[in-house]
Amino acid sequence: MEFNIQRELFVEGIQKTLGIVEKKTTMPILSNLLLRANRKQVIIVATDREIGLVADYEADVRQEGEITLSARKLHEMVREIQGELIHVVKNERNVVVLTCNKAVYRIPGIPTEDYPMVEGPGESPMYRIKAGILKEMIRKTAFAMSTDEMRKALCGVLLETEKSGETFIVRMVATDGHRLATMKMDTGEKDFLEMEKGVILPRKGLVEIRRLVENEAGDVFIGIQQGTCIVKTDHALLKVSLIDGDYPEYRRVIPAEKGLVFKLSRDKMLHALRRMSVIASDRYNGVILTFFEDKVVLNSNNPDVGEANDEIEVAYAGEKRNVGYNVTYLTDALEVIDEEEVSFEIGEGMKPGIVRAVGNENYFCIVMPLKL
Amino acid sequence: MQTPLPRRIIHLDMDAFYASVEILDNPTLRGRPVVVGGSCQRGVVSAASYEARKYGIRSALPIAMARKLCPQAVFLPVRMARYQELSQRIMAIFARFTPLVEPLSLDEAFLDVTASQTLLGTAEEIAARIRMLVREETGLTVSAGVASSKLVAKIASDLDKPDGLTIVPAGSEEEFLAPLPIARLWGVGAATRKTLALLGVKTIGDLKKLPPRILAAKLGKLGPLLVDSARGIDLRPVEPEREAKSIGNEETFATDLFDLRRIEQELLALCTRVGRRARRHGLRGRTVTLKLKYRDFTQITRSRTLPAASDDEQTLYTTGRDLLAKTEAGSRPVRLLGLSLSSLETAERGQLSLFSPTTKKEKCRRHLSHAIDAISSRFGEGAILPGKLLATEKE
Repeated sequence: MEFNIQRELFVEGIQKTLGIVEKKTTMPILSNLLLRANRKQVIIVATDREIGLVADYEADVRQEGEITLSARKLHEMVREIQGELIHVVKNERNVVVLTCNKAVYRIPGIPTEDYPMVEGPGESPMYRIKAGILKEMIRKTAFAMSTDEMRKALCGVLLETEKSGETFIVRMVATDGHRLATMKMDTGEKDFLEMEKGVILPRKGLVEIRRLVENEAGDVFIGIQQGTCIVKTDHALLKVSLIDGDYPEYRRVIPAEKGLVFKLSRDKMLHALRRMSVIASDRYNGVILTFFEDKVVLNSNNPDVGEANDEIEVAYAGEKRNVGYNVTYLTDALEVIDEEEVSFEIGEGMKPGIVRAVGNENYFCIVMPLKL
Repeated sequence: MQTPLPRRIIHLDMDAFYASVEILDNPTLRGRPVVVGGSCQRGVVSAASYEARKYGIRSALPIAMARKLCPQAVFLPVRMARYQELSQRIMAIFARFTPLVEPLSLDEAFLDVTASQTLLGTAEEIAARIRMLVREETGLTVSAGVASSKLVAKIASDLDKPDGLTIVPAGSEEEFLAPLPIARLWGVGAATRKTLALLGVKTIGDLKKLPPRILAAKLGKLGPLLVDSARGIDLRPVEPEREAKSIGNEETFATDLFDLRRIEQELLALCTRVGRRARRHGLRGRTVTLKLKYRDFTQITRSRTLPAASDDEQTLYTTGRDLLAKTEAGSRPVRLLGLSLSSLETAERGQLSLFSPTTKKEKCRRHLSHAIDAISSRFGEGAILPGKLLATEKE
């Protein structure tokens, strides 16, 4: 194996594997990436067996061949090298020599036989979707995922599709059991993934999907195949193992009736809540909202730190109403909203509250209150 | 939080508490050796009156041994409810003088009275008043130690028992400690005492004469800690209302249990108690831990985290039974069984959940638990029991 490659391109390619390769080396080879020089490309493969990435980069290939190398060490080396073009060659003892100007690195590799295969979609169909749709749906929901490993199904985002008129709608839902965020979007496609029930994409996989589509302006392709979700761009393929589990029946917890609805400036509310969150700690993370006489008073109290108060004008003429929430749940829900105005629905008694963006029906976040 | 004033801390320790309560309730026992402890042959001494102590009877001594040492002593069972009742009254007296009360057990507490002094007189006066009030209002005696740290206050209270008051003026801690035997310091057990005796250290004062290098070499991390202690340095604050980290119960059986069904029955009894205690304190826990001691005293624990915090004995029991299945219970004799609930959160205040209580069944069970709790608190523990436990009651 021997090739020349632009340093910047090489750095970028290696960087994209760092989130995937294993940090803990139970199987040392899984902390490696695979380099394959093939015709006019260098293919970089990374996998932890749950997630796999195959990406190709333009290179001047002198001799085809392949090897696996420690992703982290290779990244550090290539990052430190100065110069435009890097020369990479593997000798007969599986040692890879990187040369750039006078700098030389020698790094021992492991042959590729034991490296897990990352297979493409094969015959299974892939469907077109705008990269922006995936990006936006992940951004609007991922924050609400659980981190509780005991509730496996909640440690991911539910992806559903349904046909609405001529075209397909996609929806993502995330919940940690206390709050739930959901976003739906029209794909504009007449032919799309048809699923009987939704699939659950794991946290780590979502991070990688987001990274993959981040800089894509146009369309990408998506498919579901044997417990994995495949996302494909022109030069890369990402394969993510789905979470095998039953997602809770989230539709059941979406309130059917509207509670009291308040309209607020997104920025004003968000800033006031951030002022409250200064006081919050793990144990005392509540903010109490009191609605009366055309205003909402915010109060946060933590015996270990102190107290904070603030108020915002709001159109309200009813009885005085008191409700407490985890302040982070509210700021998380507001942060992903781009619209200027938000609506805030308070349920009766211990029913959930709902945060919506005014003018965007597709997103909302349900938040359970604190028992005061 | 550190107070800028020189701290004044009082350690209060009831004298032979359980035994004194028994004498209080039955004055004919006065002047006789009284031993309070478990009723079965395996029990240990929980408390011994000062008369009984003359025969060498101490807490934690097996009852059988105590009977040998002093056959004429009066042996009484533990009446925890009565001790708790008196303890509450005593702690309430302490609380009149400062909010900074740290109970260590039913009969022992630290008080930080640094800030109380401007209003209520010096720490010495407060200690004397508390001792008087406890005697007047309960008829029991309490020994007190007054010092600038928890360490010294605790040593001081023990020095003139029973019914004593020992005051260590600020600045004279070293002087006070120096002549005392080294075993008085926390962290000095039989092994350390032996090591130190070889170095010629018998009193706390001797310890300071040793070069720190030697101390560190012989005792490791404990070395510097002991030197600080010997100087009376102990910065730990008095921490009121220590929060419960776990709620648990355990049972040492009169005879070792072989039969798995019988063990499960005991487990259910434990779960009922733990569940009730959790509900009484308005707490729910996410981690269930099962503790098991086999006949040969090997002890194991098995735990599991629940998907949601619970205070329901049925949940505790099913989880506990699963954990039991991972042990050798049933094939190896079991001496002790314990169950505890940890990772506690308050049930009354706190984050509500979107998906629970999921089922009607769970809601029903919650109502049932509350009804059972109400019956138990009105008619006493055991007034209502799971049917499975009735067999044990008869035995």
